[in-house]
Amino acid sequence: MTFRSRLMIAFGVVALAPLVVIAAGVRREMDQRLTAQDDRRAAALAAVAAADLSRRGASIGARLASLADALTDDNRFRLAVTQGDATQRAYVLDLAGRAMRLTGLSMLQIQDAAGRIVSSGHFRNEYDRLEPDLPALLAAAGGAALVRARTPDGPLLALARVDSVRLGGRTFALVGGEAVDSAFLARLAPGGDFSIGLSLPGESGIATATAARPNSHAVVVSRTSIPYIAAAAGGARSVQAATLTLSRSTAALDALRRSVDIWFVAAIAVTATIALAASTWLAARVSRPLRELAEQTSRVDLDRLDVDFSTDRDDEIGALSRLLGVMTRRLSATAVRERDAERRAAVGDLARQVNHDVKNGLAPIRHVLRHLAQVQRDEPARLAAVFAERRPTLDASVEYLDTLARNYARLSPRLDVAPCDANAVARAVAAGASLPRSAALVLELAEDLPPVRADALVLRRILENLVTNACDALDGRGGTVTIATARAEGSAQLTVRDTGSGMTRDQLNRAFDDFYTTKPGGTGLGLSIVRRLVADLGGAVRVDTEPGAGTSVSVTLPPNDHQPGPARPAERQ
Amino acid sequence: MPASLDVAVTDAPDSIAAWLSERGVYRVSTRAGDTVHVEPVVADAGPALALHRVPVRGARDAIDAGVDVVLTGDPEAVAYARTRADLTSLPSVWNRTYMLLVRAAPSSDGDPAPALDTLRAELAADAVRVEARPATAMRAGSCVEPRGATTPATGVTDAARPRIVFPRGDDVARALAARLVALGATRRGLLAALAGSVANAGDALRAEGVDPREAAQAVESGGALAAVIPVSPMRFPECGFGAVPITNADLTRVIPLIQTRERLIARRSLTDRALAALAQAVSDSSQVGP
Repeated sequence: MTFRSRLMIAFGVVALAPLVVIAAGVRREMDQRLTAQDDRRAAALAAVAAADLSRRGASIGARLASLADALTDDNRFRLAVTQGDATQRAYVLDLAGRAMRLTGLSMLQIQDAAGRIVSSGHFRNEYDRLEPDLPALLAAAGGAALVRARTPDGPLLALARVDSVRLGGRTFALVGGEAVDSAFLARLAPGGDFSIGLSLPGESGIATATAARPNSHAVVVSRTSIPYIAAAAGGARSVQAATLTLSRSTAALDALRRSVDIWFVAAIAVTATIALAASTWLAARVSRPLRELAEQTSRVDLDRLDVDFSTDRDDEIGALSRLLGVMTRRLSATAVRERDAERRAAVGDLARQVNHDVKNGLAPIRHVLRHLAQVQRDEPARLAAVFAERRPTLDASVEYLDTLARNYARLSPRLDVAPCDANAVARAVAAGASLPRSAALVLELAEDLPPVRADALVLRRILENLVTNACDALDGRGGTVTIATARAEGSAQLTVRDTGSGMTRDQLNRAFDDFYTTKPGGTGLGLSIVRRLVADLGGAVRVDTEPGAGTSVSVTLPPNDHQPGPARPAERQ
Repeated sequence: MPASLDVAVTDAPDSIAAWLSERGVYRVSTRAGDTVHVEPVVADAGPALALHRVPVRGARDAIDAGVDVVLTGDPEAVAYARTRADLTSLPSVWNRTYMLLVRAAPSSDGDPAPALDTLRAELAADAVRVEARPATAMRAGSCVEPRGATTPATGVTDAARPRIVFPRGDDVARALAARLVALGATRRGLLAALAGSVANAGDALRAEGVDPREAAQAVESGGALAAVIPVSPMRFPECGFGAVPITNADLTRVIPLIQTRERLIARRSLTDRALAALAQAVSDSSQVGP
């Protein structure tokens, strides 16, 4: 996982976790408090509804009592019902209607002792109908009860009570009440999320209209039983129980919960977006210098220790960069020392080799001169003959020493560095190459090869050595030697490939050592000279070889605009 | 004689104007808004009248407001006029007959049961609050006013709408229908004698006001078990009590229930000639009584 990903995850957790916890806590607390508040309100409303219902029953009773008092003083009614005065019949028939309007009742009927309706307010022309059980049932209910009263327009559900009045020794029942409809119920539950429903045994009930939304739940808050004078089988009526149910719609609470949830989700989304953006910005800000530092560090090796790690940053990254700079400078110094030590060792080896070689070359000369001196002393006459006899030995030794001198001279050429056309050098080397029979030399030259910064003579010596080695690697079996040039990251690369015997790992490891050779008569200085010459040009050598598959030696030279730096070592593969 | 008398009526002015025209005394001259102006057929035979409607319970207010003449059936207004020495009243002719229409074949013997006389008397005495009397029996097959085609009746409709309809706004018809509904619970036998289907409805029977033009049609189309409708005896005098607006007399039983009349209440300050003209217009008498 990248540093950026970790930073973003950390930001997300830090920013979102507290918000989620707060949101959940606030929602839970709000839910509990609102529910408790609603429950308390519902209980209070239930109590109010019950009290209101009781008060309405009492009010009906009070109005019936007042009506009873008024009837006691009503002489026209008295004459009609006690004396049978037919002239007052119309008055009596309309009496209940007038009284009903005066008292604000919705139902009122006056019945005689036999239960005959003397006057009815809600159904004027129902006079003379017998309904003796109603006053008795209402009295048995012990207060207000629900009854189904007849009207011309249909049954009327009313909350009714009964009272009585005695006139001339005769008892008259007064049955009156208020209509129970949705408006009546609505007055018991004044709007909001509360509703009241009335369930009647064996009948369809009525209910108030509510503002409840579809799919919302209604919670029953309370149930109150009310006596209900219902018709039973066979026409007889009895007192049963109707149920007044107060319900509360959870629509408002549900809507509030949904709204809070939406806002919380929105807040979390906004926070997540901000956290993502901030973490992305911060991660980019932190990881970019690290990435740049990593790229700079990747360019560091023993031959490229001139990477600039200087920085103005005063943070940890700046400190790390400066430490890397210090480290590269130390490595550079160490590399210089190692190269000096290597050079001194090489010079020592070379001195010992020169000493050994010179001694080897001087030994025959010394022997010949000692022999000539002995002849001159002992046999002067034969001096000329002996000299002539021994001169080839002297010439051979001198030639050996001359050759040796030339070879050693090749180890430290002087450079004349200038822009150089590597392709032209490759063509010249190819033209002068001495190939074994049945061998072919192939040129693969890049057309867009940039000029290289090199000494043309040195470059020619490099290629000549490589081509010579390649030809030798063919072992006279024939094959192909290829000289190729190519552009490589702004610089030029020259490659000499052969299809010869290739090298083992051990041979490769020693291939650049001075005087190491596997060829009979070889000097062991070819690749050693190539390595030094390439290093002097500021380039690099890479050898790819496999036993039996041939060898490829690539020389990468700096471009023309390159400033000289420490030479890179040879690579082996 | 005043050029025009202001007359408050508790019925529709058009209906009153039509009734006066049918009596041959007055004719409609102009209409201005809700007011109908009538004038004597014979020039200078009486004052012109401007008929405008007041609520039934507003008749006494019209009297107190000083209107010249009030034509109403409201017993409270009539009783109030009797207490006022400056007012005189005169009963009109029995100008309205209330019929019960039941969808059934008419009886060849007229009314289905003699007990109907008792019912008519009771209805006239107790069920309505206007001056009323039992209607006389109706001759079979007579006095059917041609009407347009109606929707055929179906029994399903009867069962679905067990109701007795009456012209909306007619308090007398409403009271009669209500009494018939009440009789469904108290004297079902009598109701069965009138119409079995009405009696069978029992407690489900209702009284329902409908558009006056649709009351009779509701019975023929099966929309109601019965209807109580008023008819005017003036339009078809030969029928005795008026024509019934039904399409097919063979499928509808027509039972006269009661007849009603109104009272003309006038100020005594009007001229004798004006009072005589009014009396001639609304009653068979030429004098306004005390």
